[in-house]
Amino acid sequence: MEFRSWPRIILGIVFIVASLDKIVDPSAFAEIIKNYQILPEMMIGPVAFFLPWLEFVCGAMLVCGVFIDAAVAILVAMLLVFIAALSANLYRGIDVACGCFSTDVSSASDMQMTIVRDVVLLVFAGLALKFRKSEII
Amino acid sequence: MKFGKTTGFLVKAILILAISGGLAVAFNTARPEPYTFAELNNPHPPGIGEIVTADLLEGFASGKFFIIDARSDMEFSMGHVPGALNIPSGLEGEGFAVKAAQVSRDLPIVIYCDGLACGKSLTVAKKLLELGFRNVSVYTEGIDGWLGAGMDLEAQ
Repeated sequence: MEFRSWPRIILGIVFIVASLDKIVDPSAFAEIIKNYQILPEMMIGPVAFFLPWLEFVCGAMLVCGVFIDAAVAILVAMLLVFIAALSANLYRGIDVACGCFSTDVSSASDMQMTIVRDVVLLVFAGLALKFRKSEII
Repeated sequence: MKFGKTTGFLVKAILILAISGGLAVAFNTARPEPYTFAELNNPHPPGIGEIVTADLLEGFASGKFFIIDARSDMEFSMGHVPGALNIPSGLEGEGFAVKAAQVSRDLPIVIYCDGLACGKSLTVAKKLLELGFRNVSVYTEGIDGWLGAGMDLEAQ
């Protein structure tokens, strides 16, 4: 396997792993979304219902090397929204469970580190897109 | 050429969204108790607590909880937490009220179902709150957590 494939595969695996807990228990994920106090109530259900599967499918597309540009664009959009949501709560002093990889509401999360991690994932997304054309798929 | 690239990109993005939506609906439909948007919009209303295995074991040993099994009659008869009352989450109206009349209003109420992927306990908890019950908690780890702690089930 080419070195150039690694960024998209790693990014894909990260999003697949991140989606699993939320797919199994959308109710717990909905609770975490609610705790963020950003979305109106009527949006919590649809987001908790679809977002984990969008993460999973985009991750699977990246691992398989299919529709890379569209999958990366969607993941980048999601990462930017996550960073904005985390930053908003950091600014407001609301300390909530991240809901990134686990739906455990009580799990403590360091929001600054989570934002840094999301920025690193953005870099991986950029690399995946940059190397996309040179990969033979 | 540019229009073609943009169109192709949009088609791929729409396909990804459609596949995700389709999988979400299919997976939810396959659940024993599918979630509704209404349930997810208000996932854990105020007034419903949550307990972990250690809390349940301690309360069970001292008899300080009133335990409710939110699964179906058949699942309950195959094995349940000893002493639990069965109130299937699908019960509505008078059927639910008759069962709820057997629930203690003095003891803290703990409701469980299969495990983490199961929303039945939360459904029953919400219905009990509507009937004026207080001190209601769900044991989210459910039967899986109970068995994982090495505890036995009682069969009917």
